Amino acid sequence: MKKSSLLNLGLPIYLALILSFTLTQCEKETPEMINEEELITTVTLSISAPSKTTRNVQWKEGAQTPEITLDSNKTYSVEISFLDESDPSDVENITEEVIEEAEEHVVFYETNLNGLSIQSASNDVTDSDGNPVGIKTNWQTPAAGEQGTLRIYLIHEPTTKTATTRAAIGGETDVEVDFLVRINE
Amino acid sequence: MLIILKSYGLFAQQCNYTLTGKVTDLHDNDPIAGAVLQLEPLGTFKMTDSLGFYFFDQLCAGKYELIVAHPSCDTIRKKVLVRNHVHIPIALEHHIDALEEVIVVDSKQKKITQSVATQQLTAAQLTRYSSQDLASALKNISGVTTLKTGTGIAKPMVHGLYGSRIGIVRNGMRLRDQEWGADHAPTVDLNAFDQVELVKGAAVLQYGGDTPGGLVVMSTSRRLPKDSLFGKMITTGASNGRGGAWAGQLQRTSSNGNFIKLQSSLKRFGDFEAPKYVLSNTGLQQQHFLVELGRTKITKGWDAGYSYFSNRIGILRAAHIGNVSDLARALASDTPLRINPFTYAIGAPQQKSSHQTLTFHAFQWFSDTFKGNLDYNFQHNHRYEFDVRRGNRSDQSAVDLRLKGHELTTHFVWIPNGFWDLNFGVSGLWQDHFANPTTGVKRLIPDYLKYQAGGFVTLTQKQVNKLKVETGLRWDYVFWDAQKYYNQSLWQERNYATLYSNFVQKEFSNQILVRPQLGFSNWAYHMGATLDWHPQWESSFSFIQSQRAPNAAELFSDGLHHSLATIERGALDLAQETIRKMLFQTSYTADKAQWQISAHYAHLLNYIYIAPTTIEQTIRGAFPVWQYTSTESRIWGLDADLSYQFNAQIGFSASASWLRGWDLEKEDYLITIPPVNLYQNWHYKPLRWKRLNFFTEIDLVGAQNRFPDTNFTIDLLTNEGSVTKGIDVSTPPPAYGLVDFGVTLFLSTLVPENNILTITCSNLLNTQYRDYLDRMRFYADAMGRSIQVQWAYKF
Repeated sequence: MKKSSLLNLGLPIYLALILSFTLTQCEKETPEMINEEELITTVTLSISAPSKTTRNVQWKEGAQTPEITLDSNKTYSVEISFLDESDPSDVENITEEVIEEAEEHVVFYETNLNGLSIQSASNDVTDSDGNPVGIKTNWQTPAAGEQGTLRIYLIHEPTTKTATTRAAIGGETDVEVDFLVRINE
Repeated sequence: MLIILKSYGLFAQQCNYTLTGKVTDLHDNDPIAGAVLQLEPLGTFKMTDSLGFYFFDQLCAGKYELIVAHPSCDTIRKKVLVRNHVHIPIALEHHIDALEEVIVVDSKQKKITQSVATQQLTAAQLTRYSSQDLASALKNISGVTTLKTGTGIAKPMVHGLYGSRIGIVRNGMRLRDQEWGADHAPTVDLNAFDQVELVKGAAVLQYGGDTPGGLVVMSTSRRLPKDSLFGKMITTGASNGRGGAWAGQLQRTSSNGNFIKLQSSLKRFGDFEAPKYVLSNTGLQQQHFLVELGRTKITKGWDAGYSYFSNRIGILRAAHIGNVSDLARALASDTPLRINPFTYAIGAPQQKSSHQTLTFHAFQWFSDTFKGNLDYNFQHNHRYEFDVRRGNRSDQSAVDLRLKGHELTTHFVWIPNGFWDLNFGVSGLWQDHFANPTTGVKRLIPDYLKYQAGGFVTLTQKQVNKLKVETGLRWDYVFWDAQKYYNQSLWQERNYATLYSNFVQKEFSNQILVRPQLGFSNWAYHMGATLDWHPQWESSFSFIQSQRAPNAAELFSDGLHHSLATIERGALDLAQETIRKMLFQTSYTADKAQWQISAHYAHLLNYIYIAPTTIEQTIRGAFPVWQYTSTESRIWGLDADLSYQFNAQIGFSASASWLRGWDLEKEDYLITIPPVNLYQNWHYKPLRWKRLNFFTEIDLVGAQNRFPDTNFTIDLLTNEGSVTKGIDVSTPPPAYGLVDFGVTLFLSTLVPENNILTITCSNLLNTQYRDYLDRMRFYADAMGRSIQVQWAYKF
């Protein structure tokens, strides 16, 4: 069979195309560093007893379980906030986003400390249906000597907001942090 | 074809000359037995023997005309002058009917590899799964299972191996999509191909030496240089998902060898349904478009093409969870935690992918015995994953990965005679992967450049005393050049600071930019033999070594898998996998019965897999961390296929597979090994109604009782204190059986295969079941009953 120049026609064109592709992209740019936007690194509880100063207890990723010491038989006003402190020079307050999307969020408090009762405060953030979100709460402490774990959840898209157990509320957990709570004598 | 010799005059009466030769196939030099040769004006008929040889003797000198005939070949006429003994080799062009798509699985047909089990899908199977996907079409082949992520995503798994260990070949070139993800379905449209063949091992080294699981070879039928316009159209509607698909193609070929093909397909489904509830957010849509044109002139040809594939797949809403306590609640519930009414809308979580391919092929027979092929393609694959995000970010993808690359391969074939042939070639691949930072989420896979170059040589020795031997060798060099940000804490923890300090580019407060540059040298070889030791029996043995460099996820993965509530981490110190596999197969063919059994055994060195390590406490709660690691393991098993035709009406076929995987280092079973499986198909052709065919399929899947324990515990708060709860993610679901039933109606009497209406009911009994290889088994049952009506028309 006779040899032909079929390949000779198309080949140089394609080789040129291929080479042009490869040569223009041999060096890759340095990738941009990503700082995650919805990252929550810190949960802060602002605890105030009536006519006393407010103190902050923080849960930070990587740190030890924070302790909260409370007096017995008292009612405290607590406000929770969620922060993104991954860039210390630019701290983002994620609580604002939670409040903006009140329909899709609820903060749930779970504890094994007998007698510690956490209820939504009268000035709590509510969603358009009137359900409280749980950002501002009142904590009623029991008689002295108890201690236990308090687990706080930030739940995204809960199935129902007015249930009393984590399982019944459903939804996806965005935050799940533990605090150790001690009640003073 | 008839060879006619006409004498044109009287010559000297020497009449002891011979005319001999060999008749072969023009394309691949296979001998053609049973070609009829007629000698005129003598009127003598001869036929070629099994090796293609013909022999005329006692010929007088003179001018003759030789006409050679064979069914499905073009007739050849040759003028012959006999003055001495004459030897004339004849090459016949095998006429493949361009409409011929009914490829019957035949143990004697030409295989792409001599000694390793290959199985082809029939045209009926390709058509039936037109509205589904490649993995579903392959699943009834013995040894093949599907790794699924719900109803919309399926990947083929062969002998327990999947993902980067399986190669998908489209018209001679590998599909380069982001196959490392267990939830990444191959971005191919089944409707764009006429033949799909499965090779259960890396035995076709021209496509690569890194596919120990096997190859899925998808190809378009050969085009012929004749004037023709033909095409097909398949329209499907299905009840489950309340959707359907349309696929059509049109081809024009001309006698001068030019051809053009247009193909397109569309698919759209809403939420699928399990027997008791809607699987919310499982709708999907898919589009594909292809144009190919070229010129084929039998001894040389070229073609160029462009194809565009895109899809959007909803992921079960109930599978998007926050952390392990969410997973625990999902596991404790019999039904998905979120069930919404049926809708066609697809929201978060969802996947969107697109794949574009630009191809160019050229081939030429430089002489009777030497052929060259040149293949080039450019592929562009883009994957988005959308999570349910806070702050109206659900419309912004959380994962945005773009992989593009160029690949060039050459393949030469040298066939000096009918006894052996040599295949060899070189190839090169260049890829650029970019992870878009605008997602605002840390990259799952970093930016990288990947280079690969290699070459192969294969020697095949054909029919000599009924023994065929094949051997091949391939070498590839793979080089990764990535740029990745690691968390400082992780960089220190994994001891990378000491091991890979030379890769460090720049340090930041809590992140570190690293440029890993890793090279891998991979050798693959293959030896096999087939013996036809009896007219009805054939046995083959094959030994394959494949080496595979770790993929992007195994090396660099770093991210949270929402549907599994796990954090996945890659490992930089992985070595390449070396898998040595032996296959032994015996097959029997008779009039009514055909069966084949194959046994396989593989030893996997540095087998890379992902295993749970610790539980990490993050602000979102607890997450098990799964880390890519390697081990030494073994996978072995048996595949069997059987078909039996009781009479003209009733036929039966079955396939079964049994598999074991064992981790030699951990002394425990391997994870995700499919359980024993038996598939049966009974078909019935009624005598009275020739236009109807019925079939019933029964698929029995066992319970996998051999699995590793990857369970963990979580702490729940109750009034009494903390309670530790065990979370069982290891135990596979129970055994199940599915029944399918179908009716085929041939609408035209002229060419029945060209106009077919099929009604199929899958999961006829609406069985509630969960499959071990479905990652959504933690959240919901699998799909319930579906009635599919399909009209396939060819012209």
